[in-house]
Amino acid sequence: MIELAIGIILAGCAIGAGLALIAGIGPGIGEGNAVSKACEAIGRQPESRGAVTSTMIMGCAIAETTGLYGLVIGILLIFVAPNLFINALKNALTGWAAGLL
Amino acid sequence: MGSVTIQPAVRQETGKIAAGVGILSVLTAGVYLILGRFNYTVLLGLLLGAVFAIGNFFLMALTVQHAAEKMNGVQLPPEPETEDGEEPPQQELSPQAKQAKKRMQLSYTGRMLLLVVMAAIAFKLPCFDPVPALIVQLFPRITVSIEGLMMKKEQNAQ
Repeated sequence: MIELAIGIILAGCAIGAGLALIAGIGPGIGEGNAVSKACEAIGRQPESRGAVTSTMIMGCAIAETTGLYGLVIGILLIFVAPNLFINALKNALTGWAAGLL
Repeated sequence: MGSVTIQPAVRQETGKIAAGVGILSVLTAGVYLILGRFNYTVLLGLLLGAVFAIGNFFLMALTVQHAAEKMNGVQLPPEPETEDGEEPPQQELSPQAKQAKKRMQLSYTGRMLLLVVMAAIAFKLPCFDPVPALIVQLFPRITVSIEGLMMKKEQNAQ
């Protein structure tokens, strides 16, 4: 019984981590679009290169954080959450068993 | 292999981010100290995270710089003028812009993979505390937000 519960916890963590990593797709597409449009802007107005580059760097940094959030959550779900949940389950079962006795 | 000249904009922005990450890392260390959980693993975790966060930003800025440099000598025609409220017709991207887009997406994927490697190192090696190493990855965004707020204040004061 407890093996099944642990298996469900591990599966849930893995599925959750996979879902969290979907957040990494958007920033990649968005950054690519932003940079391509900024390159076109530089091509049209070469004198604005410095300002466009600075703004582009800051914009990419902001866009990237969304992907980082997802990745950090995914990493925590893979490395930290399983032990946390399994320990909580074991504690709950121990308490339940002690209550029965 | 040719040498890479770093543009002043990249240097300046990376410097700002490095300063912000440094200050916020010191604050995080202070919080750990107040909570009584500060030890050398927290310090090493903060250092690993800070080095990676600044390196990640620098690599991204270098990619952006490289994309901008690809436009050297390229003169695109101005966008066609439209009447008020009308969307300009969608034009196909120039080959340089397409290349920049692909390069940026490739760079993003590579940097994310590097982050996974860094996280794996932080979790597997006992000398690093992984939590501060991961927290530091969010500091560049906080720095950019603070910088934006300060710029707004300056503009309002003027």
